[in-house]
Amino acid sequence: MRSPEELLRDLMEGVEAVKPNRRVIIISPQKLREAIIRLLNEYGREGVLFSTLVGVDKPQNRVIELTYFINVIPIGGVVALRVNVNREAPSAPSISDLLPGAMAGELEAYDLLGVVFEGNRGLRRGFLAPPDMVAKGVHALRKDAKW
Amino acid sequence: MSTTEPEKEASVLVKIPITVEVPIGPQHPALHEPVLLKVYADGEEVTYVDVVTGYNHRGIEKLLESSTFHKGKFIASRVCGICNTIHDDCYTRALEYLAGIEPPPRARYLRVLAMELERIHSHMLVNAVMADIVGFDALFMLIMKDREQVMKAKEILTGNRVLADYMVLGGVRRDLDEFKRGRLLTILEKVEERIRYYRKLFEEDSTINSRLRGVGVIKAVEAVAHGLLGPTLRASNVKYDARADERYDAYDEVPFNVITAAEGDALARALVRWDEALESVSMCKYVLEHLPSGPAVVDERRLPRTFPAGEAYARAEAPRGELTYFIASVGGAVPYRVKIRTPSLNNVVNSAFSYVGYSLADVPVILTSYDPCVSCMERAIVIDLKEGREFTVPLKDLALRGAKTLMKR
Repeated sequence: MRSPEELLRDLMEGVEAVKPNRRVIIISPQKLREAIIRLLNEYGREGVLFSTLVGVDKPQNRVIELTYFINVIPIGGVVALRVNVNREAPSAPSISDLLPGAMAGELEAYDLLGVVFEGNRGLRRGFLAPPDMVAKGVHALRKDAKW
Repeated sequence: MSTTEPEKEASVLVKIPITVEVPIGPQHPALHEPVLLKVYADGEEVTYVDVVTGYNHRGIEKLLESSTFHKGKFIASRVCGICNTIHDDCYTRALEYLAGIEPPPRARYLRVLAMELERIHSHMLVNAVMADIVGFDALFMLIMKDREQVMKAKEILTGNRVLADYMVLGGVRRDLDEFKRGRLLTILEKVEERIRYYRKLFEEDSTINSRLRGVGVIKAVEAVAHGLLGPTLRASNVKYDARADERYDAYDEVPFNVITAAEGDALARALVRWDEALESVSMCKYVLEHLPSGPAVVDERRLPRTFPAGEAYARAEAPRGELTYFIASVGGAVPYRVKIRTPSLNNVVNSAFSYVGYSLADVPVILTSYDPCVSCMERAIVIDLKEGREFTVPLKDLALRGAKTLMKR
């Protein structure tokens, strides 16, 4: 069984570190689905458990950084994939059809950061945000959010 | 008075599929959390469930961005009442990873003790609520009475029944003396016996069995694909536990088994919780009997006030499943971003599929009472019996023009 890094080597655009000793694989949004498909093919549908989707607004870099933490059960470890999306029109391909476990994370990131996950038909405002914030079109976790 | 002659031979059959929408929550006697389950049912059979959330969104992640790292620890503890120690631990560990602080062995053991006591009382609570939902109120009260002993044990250890704030960067807040150690062991002996009894009862009692066995079956592949966590995942025969995977705190030294069950139904989940509670009791005993000597409590005045730039990702196995904290720091006293992913986010939002095909009464939260309203009668199917044609029309058109007129179109 190959390691996730071996599997995704040609898709990698860089590597960053998250403590403790976790490597984050940076890939372009267009390659995200390909990366998930490779993980599913290698470790099987019973081996890839979606854990957490972290969205971080970085206005200084004009990006919203999305980090997908995925547990790979057969190797007992975490794979972290990071994609940067344009902050002005944030959009990333949805992976909720490949990994339905990503649904909750995508709904949350759409509601609170405004990232559109293309292909996810369940996206809706007000998933977590209160109605007044929704009415004003505010995404609470943006650094410049005011309401 | 004139009456219309009934037709001798029917030429048209109109089928109106009726879907009943049963809103359960956000305030409901059978619900313990403010969430709305929109259950759509065809007759008694659940056809679709829409999970509506947002009733208790408190903006904690935003609040954490404007509070110092140290204040954040107390906010993180208050994300959840039942598993506050685990939240505290996960946040504290993420900070420790960031600052490169390693707690001493005695503190790591005491952390495990506090978290496992929490797991015992949380699992007892969930199974007591399950007894309540199936209508076995006496059992609910008995379990809750015994659970109180665990709360007492937690108070002896941490100083508080519920909110403990037990973790401190690089250690714990209170140490354990010989007298308290003895009291905890006595309580654990009593609780263990009771949990064994309840486990046997859940396994053998006909009321519980007939309500829980074969209900809400989730296959292993479905559980993993939908990102379900904790006992829900393990009851579907998936051996995944963040304690075993991550070996944080003293979980690399305290022996334990990852409990799984093959059935994947509601009963299996209850039994996995009882078995895990028993496993936690033996872990607590092990910790009390093998507690390393040395310091555990740190001098809080000497803790760093600012933290270096970087990112940390900590995970812990909360009673409900894997809990994760992501902390991004740009240096200084305030975090740039804190992301908390609680197991219930995955377990509640992603599990809508698991109700489908079961009876309305099998949606556990609606067992006590529900108020159905008919709202989704959208379309009718008109079948031309002579020609075997079948087509759908809006109900409004059917009412205005009649099936025969529509058929001629």
